[in-house]
Amino acid sequence: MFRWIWSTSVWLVFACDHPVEHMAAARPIRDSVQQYPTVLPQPLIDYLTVHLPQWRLVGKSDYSKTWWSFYDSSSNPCWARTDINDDRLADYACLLKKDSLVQLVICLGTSSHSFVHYNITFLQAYDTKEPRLLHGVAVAPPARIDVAVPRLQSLILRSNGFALLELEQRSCLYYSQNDRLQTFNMK
Amino acid sequence: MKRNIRRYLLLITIFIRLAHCTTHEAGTQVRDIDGHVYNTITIGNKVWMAENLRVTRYRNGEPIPLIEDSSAWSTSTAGAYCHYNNDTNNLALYGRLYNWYAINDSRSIAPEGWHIPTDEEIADLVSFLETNPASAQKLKVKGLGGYRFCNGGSYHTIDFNGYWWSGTRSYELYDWSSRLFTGFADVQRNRYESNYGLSVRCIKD
Repeated sequence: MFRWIWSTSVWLVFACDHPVEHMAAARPIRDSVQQYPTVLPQPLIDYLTVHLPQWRLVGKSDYSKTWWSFYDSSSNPCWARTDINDDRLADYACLLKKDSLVQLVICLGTSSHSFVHYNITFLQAYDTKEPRLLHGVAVAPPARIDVAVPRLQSLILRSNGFALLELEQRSCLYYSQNDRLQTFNMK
Repeated sequence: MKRNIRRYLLLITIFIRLAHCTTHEAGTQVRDIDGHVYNTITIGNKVWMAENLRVTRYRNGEPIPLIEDSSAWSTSTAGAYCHYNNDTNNLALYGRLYNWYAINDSRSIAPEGWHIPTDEEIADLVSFLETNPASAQKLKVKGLGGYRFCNGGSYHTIDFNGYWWSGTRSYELYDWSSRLFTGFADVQRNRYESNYGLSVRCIKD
C-alpha cells in the first residue's frame, strides 16, 4: 500500500512538469497602460485648485473652428500626460484659463503623490465671447528633432517631453534634463 | 478495503491529471530554452507572445552576454542584453532589453517554432490595428518596458513607452495612444542604432 502511494506521489510530481518558478507573477493591469483617461486625476485637480485658484482647465469648446479643422474631435488638446523625467511618475501639461488669459502649466508628479508645478508661458488673449483658442498640448516621444527655422538646431530627446502646439505646428518642446525643465523653441 | 482505497486514489490521480491539463491550456503558452514560460495572444491571424522575452541563451544553448556598463553597451558589436536600470526587479514584468546584434544573430534568440516579427508582419499589424485599435491594448497589458539609449547606455520611459525589435527596426506603443508607431530605431537607416536596448516579442511561425 505504502509503495503504491509512494509511486503515485512520484508520478504526480513529474506530471507537474511546468517550471512554475519561472513564470512571472500575475499582476493587475497597471494604471499607466490603461486607456488614456478622459478627465484629470482627482489629486491633480485638488492640487490645481489649491495652488492656482481661479484658474480652470480649458475645454474643447474653447477651441476655434480652425483648430477642429486640423484635428479630430476625439483628440484632447487641453492637457497631456506622460513621464518627462524618468521617475516613473505621471507628469502633466495643462492649459488653464482665467478670464481672458490662458497659460501653460507643467505639473511634475512627486513620490508623495502630489505635484510641483511650473508656470511656463501665457498664450494669446482669450475671447470669452467666441471660442478662438489655437494652442494645444501633446506628448513628444523620444526622437532626434531637427529644426531649420529660425536657426539650424537639433535636439536629441531621450525621454518624453511636452509639445506646445500652435494649430498643426509644434512651436515649443518642454523636457527634463539634469533635473531641470528645459525649453526647445521650434518656431 | 484495500481495493477501495486503491480505487479512490486512482480516481484522485485521474482528476488531478485532468485538472492539470485543463489549467495549462496546451497551446496557449510557449517556453524558451531557459524554461521561462510565456502566455500568448492572438492579434489578427498571428499568435504573439503576451509578454516580453526574458531568455539569456540562444536557441543552441550558447549564452547571450549581460552588459550593464554604459560604455561597454554603447560600443558592443555582439549580441547582449540588460535589465532596465540594471535592476533585476524589472525582469518579471518588463522582461529583458536586447541590442539588435542579439536579434540578428543566426543562432536565434526566439524559441523553437517562433521568430522575431519581420518588418512586413509589423506593417500588417499596423494596418490591422488601424481598424482594431483596441487590440493594441493586448500588447500593453504586461507593461511598457522603456528602452536603453544607444549612445551612452542610459535608460528611459519605462511604464509609459514600449519599444520592440522587428527585423531591422523598432515598433513602439505609447501609454497615451492606441496607435502603433515604427522606426524609433532603424538599423538600416542608422547602423549605430543597433546599440539601442529594446524589448522583444516573438511571433509563432
